[in-house]
Amino acid sequence: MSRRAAPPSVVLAPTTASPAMRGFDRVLRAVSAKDVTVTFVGESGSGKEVMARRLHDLSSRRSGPFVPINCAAIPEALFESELFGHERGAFTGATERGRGKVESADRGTLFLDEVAEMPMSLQAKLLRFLETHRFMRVGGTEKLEVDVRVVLATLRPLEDEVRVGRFRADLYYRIQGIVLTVPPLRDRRRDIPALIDAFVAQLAAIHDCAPIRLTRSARAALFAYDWPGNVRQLKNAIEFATILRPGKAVRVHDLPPGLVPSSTASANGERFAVDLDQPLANMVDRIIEHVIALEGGSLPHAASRLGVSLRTLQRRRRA
Amino acid sequence: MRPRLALIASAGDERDALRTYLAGAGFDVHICERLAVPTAFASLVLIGDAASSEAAIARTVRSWIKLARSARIVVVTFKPTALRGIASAYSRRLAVLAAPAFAWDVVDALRATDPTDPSNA
Repeated sequence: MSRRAAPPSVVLAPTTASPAMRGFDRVLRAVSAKDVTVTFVGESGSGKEVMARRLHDLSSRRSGPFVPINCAAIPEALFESELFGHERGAFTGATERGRGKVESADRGTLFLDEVAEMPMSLQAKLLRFLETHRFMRVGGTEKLEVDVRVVLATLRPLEDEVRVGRFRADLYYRIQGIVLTVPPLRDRRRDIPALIDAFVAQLAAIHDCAPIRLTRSARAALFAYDWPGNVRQLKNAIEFATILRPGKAVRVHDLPPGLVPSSTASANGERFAVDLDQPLANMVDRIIEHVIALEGGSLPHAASRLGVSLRTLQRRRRA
Repeated sequence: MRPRLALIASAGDERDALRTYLAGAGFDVHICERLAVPTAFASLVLIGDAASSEAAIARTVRSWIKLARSARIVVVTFKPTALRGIASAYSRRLAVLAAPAFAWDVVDALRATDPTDPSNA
């Protein structure tokens, strides 16, 4: 275990030690200067929101708000009100006028995460808004105008969603201008050491303990793993070790059980090894993450393949 | 007019870079290592480093809460749990972030707090 430099207190930009991220950041800088709609495509946990935030910070809108909205997390019945706001009395319980995310993002950036999950009925209204930058609150009669840059993110290419009829073709053509693919962590392994150091320090702070000390072999294992859950999964692995070995040395066998050599955990194959000495819950989690990786990060597709509802899958991953 | 913000941190490249970032986000940033008059600012940002004393940070923040009654306060520290009590008591004026924090989390915390809330008086 080598002595490492003290971590910074504040991080100003995503890690770009790898050629893939350096190249990505170059494109991001070029695109940020133009006030155009941008769509990020990337696997679950790859940092699409972080990149959207970076785009906002590099743009001339950086002094304005950055307003994120997760399209998969909002019930269809509430979606329009959440996005465009509502007038008093627009529906039961609307006792006051409410501002939507679009209004909150005026002079800034509106980030629509998991846009493929947006209800079809709302997609038409989003398209109209993108074309005119005008909208009406639910229950309202007045057209309002805002100055907003819209940035979108999706787990998988939207053309697949158009093909199966889950995404409007006209909206797809409206937003497909600039599509940036966020590299998965396995394609930017040189970023892993810096990410590990940042998470070790941050999670020690959060859990009020001394930072873990990863052995050289544990670091090597983290570096070699394929990370189907990307940066989020790496952070979870560091948190696992921080909770179990606070302030202590962490060896390979102290890492989460799922972190097996990439030859057996690869998302390319339909088989993978299960350690029968592990608790059932761990095995279930591994199977879930593996299927999500096989489905390119798509939770709805993974849920369908596993024969469970999307809500069950999301609940299980949060547990 | 740009809101006046005091950035309290050890001198160095990290502070300079954060100053530039916060200025870009629309704040009128003044840097120092110790703040004598917190009442002169709309926002106070304290950046602790790995060697910072948690007791000293907590003392400083308590004094700001009393003196600068309308200021928004954001603290980035490697010992956030030392401020857990005061952070929950003044949650709308004070945000405590675990280091290392993204600079945009600092900006979001500055914009999210509501100094006009009477529960924070």
